[in-house]
Amino acid sequence: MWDRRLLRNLDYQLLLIVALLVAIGLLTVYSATRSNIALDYGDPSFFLKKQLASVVLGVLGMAFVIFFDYRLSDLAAHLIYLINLGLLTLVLFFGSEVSGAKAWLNFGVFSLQPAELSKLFLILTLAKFLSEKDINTPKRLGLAFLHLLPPLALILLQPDFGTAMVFVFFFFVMLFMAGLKIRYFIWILVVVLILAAAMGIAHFVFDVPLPIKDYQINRLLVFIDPGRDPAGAGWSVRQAVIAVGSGRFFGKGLFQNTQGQLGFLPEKHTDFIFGVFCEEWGFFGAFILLGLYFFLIWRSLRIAQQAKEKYGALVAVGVMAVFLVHVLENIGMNMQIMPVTGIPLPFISYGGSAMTVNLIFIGLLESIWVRRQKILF
Amino acid sequence: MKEQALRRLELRFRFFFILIILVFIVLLARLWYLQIVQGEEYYAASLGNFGRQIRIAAPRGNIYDRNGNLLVSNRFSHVVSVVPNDFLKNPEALRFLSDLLEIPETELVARFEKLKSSQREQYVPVKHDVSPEVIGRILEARLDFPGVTVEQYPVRSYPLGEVAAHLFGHIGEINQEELAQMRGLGYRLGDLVGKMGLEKTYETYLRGTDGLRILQVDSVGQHLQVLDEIGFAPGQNLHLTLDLELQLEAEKALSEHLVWLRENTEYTAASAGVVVVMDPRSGAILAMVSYPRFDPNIFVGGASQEVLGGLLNDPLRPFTNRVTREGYMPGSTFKPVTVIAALEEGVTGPNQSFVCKGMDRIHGALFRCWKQEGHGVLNLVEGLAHSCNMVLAELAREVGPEGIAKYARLLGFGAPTGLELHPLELSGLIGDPDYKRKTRDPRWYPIETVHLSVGQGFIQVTPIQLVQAFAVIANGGKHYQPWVVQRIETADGRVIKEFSPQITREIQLKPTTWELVREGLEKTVSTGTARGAFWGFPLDRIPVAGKTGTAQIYGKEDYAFFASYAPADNPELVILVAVEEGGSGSLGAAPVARRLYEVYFGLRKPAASSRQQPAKEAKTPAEKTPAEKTPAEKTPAEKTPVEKTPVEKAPAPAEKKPVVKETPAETAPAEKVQVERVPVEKNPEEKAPVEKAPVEEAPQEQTLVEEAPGQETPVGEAPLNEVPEEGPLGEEGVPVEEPPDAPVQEVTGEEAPVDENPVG
Repeated sequence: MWDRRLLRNLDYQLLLIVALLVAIGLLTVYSATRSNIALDYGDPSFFLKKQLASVVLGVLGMAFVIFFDYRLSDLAAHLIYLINLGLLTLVLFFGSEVSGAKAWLNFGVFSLQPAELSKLFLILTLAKFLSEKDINTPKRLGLAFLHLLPPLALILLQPDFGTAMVFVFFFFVMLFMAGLKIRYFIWILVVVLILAAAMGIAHFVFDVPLPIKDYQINRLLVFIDPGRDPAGAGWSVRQAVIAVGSGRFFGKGLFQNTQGQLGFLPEKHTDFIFGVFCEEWGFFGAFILLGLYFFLIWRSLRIAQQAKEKYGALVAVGVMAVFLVHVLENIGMNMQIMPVTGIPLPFISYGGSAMTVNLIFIGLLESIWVRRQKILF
Repeated sequence: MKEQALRRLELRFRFFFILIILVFIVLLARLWYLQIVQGEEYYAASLGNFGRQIRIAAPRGNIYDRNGNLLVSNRFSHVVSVVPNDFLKNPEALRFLSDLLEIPETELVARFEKLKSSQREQYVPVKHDVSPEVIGRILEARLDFPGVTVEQYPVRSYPLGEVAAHLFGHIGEINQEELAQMRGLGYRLGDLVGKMGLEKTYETYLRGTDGLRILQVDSVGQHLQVLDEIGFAPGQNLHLTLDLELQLEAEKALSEHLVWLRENTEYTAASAGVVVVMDPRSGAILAMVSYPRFDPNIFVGGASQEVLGGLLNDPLRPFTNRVTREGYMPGSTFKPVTVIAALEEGVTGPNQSFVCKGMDRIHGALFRCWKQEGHGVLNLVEGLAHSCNMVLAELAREVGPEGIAKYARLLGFGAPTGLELHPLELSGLIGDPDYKRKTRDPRWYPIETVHLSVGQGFIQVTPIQLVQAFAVIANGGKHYQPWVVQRIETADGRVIKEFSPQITREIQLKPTTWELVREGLEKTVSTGTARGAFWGFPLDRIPVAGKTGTAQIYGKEDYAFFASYAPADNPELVILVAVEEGGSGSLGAAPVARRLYEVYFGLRKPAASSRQQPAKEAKTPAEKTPAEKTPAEKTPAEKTPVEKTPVEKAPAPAEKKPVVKETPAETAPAEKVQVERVPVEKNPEEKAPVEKAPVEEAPQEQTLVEEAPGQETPVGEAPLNEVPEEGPLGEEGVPVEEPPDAPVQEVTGEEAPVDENPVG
């Protein structure tokens, strides 16, 4: 398994990009938390230290998947699928509740967010499934949906709509790249529209409750009409936009994120960390950050293109889709071009599970990349 | 076909490359728009947005007794907060502030400069408990000097002052250690948290959730509008099993008795003690006193260092809750354990007779009974009732130290009782040979067994354990976990948690064992060592059972104990009284218990129903707040002491009113003694015998009392070689008649009944 050529063939550009992103992330997390919220724990670098620990864990995971193959046996795929469901079920019963969602499994020193791991697991098993046979039969397509449904349902039960949306996004991207014909997409669209219409009728005619919560409806309404509810749901978006805009070209400088430090910007180390970064580094910094993300996603797609076989390509496409949707949604909501959902900015937002899983994603990409040519082995 | 599929895939890849480019163009365009096109506007907004947060402190939950009397609550105080930057930049404003608050300018500047730069833009509290005039002037000056504000905030208030201080505990600023322990619960430096007692134990319930107000201010710091406000949620209320009336009576009875002991007997060092009252049918604590006490109000609003230092260095340790945190040698109150052990192990029975000659040689060591001339011939029950050391020595020889230790543990000694109260209770110690082997010396001397049997030597029990053991005897074997909180409610009265009696274990003893021990305890009061203390008490109506104890501590006066329950046939109440250096159990402790029984059973007016309003309360500026008024107002109206003692209570309301106002009730107990005793003394049926008995016998008895301790010392020395520190044997204190009412000489007279006892 170990091969010197493995190291030689690594995609070092990708690694460099990720290293830069992680460094920016650590600095920004420290800047966002050091002055107040971390002090509640009696240590200004409390969050920084925890984040650093998950980086270390993630790098180990990354090394593991680079050196061991990314391909799965049937048994391993089944096992991973079951573990995935198991963790998502566990969190519903034993999870600790943070702001309305049961998303964390607490293990004392650290806590795990199974939804993050679930992305990794589902991409692997779904890629395996889609690469086995041609997807273009109603039966296979139905089975693909059945593959998605149980983890998706468990995520929705937490409820974690952000992650559910990510699931749906990479599911369709992977279907698309697996070669599903356009006419099937049209069929899917028709079915979804009918279902939505049925739900709407059920709600307004028969008073069946909608499966989304009030605050989510509120967030959508605020997105459409920003003037609505300026002190409540509109508050954080408005503050984020002020934070982003107030950075101007060169930003206010490191640790000068007044929006965050004065308590205007909520969730400043997680969901709205982009606002903190923009306030400190301005357009100049944000341009570089966007550039790094662009390169990250671009490389992911290149790796998918170059993959040795369909399974590798689909895994890489799934990873690419996750990065794309996270970056688009998170940065978009910070700039009020997307509705607010609580999904983190990859490698930047505070959150151990996400950081670790994202690094493992990079490991997968590298693993696919180094094995792109048979010659190697 | 395959080629076609490949080409299609290639197309799809290309689609994605284009999609990615588009997404990033959109993001970049938006970024450009926000930061470059509108950047200046948002920059200005972020500056004008120097909004300021003010935390709105939530009041802590109240604490009520079992009848709904308010015990602990909050009053309102005013705090002056300023934005440091506004004053650092403006020397004139700084001077004004310094004059007004009487804080030197240099100190203000030093304090502000310690803050982080971001904090200097926020309101920072500079002075608490500000007087109304100052507030008025600040509000006037606010137009000239923005960046100063006055906020009302709730402060913890203990209207009862020192009463039950150890139970309630106190609050204080959170320290680093606690901050680390309670991380994630939203505590910040500077927050007040419970430090001991119920305040600490139930911190999470009492605390409530602070609110937050974000004010938008303009560039000169004037408030423009409230941007956001998150309301606070007040803490949850505790409803205790405590009975305020009994608690007050217990506090008063103990403190007055201590004064009486110091002034009228040779026990001039008697100044610490314990009273615990428990319901043996449930384990509920009805009263709990540890003396000396402290006033938890001193921790509110910045404790004065002198006062605090004085209390901390006090050798009597006023902050120690003796009920749970003091291990005492129980003396003769431990004797029932030995008797139970002997009966259960079958080494004795009701008909065995013992001979007490006043002393005996036990394997070379001289062992004395407290009664020098000896008890003569007695049976087991009489042995317990008269607390005869010789009887116990005989039993101890048969049962052995392991047997005694076994039953001591069965009755709950040597292990925590499970009372939920911080700081956590001690486990105590049952020093059996195994313990001694491990810690001191492998040798075990027979005399040590005898010492153990009479509650001396390597034995330490906490008052709460002793109470529980007597409750177990009273209720026939049920170990109830002692509890003091019966219900937790939200501020609007929704029940969060309800507690009920918990039987932790039940011990099974022979019915005859229970009967004999209870008989012995009952006779202790009716004819035995506690007879004098209960002289005149209607034992025929309300039989009391109990055990006196006198523990000998090397280098100190004897410690007095009285553990008891009543009514003996159907116990409702277990009362333990312990007085450090208070002499014999019957003199130093039993009278306090008697007074409590009298109040509980309606034989006596609860003298303590005069609510002590601590002087502190009256001085505070924020007097008019509603929270504060409640205790005073509520008590006369709601409290119905009448229900217990319908006959004697007639003048109660009229009498109470003036007393409520009387502030320093606590401070002058000496004078009060006189006043309060009056109604009791006037009771004709009690007085008659008391007065008669002592007059004739006074001289004779007097000598006996004085001799007792002096005589003890030489005896103690003989076998002492092996037993360090503690005096070697228990001696039952000389029984004494109800002391508080009578002058010293009369006190001893009470021995009379004992002497007349046909036993001798």
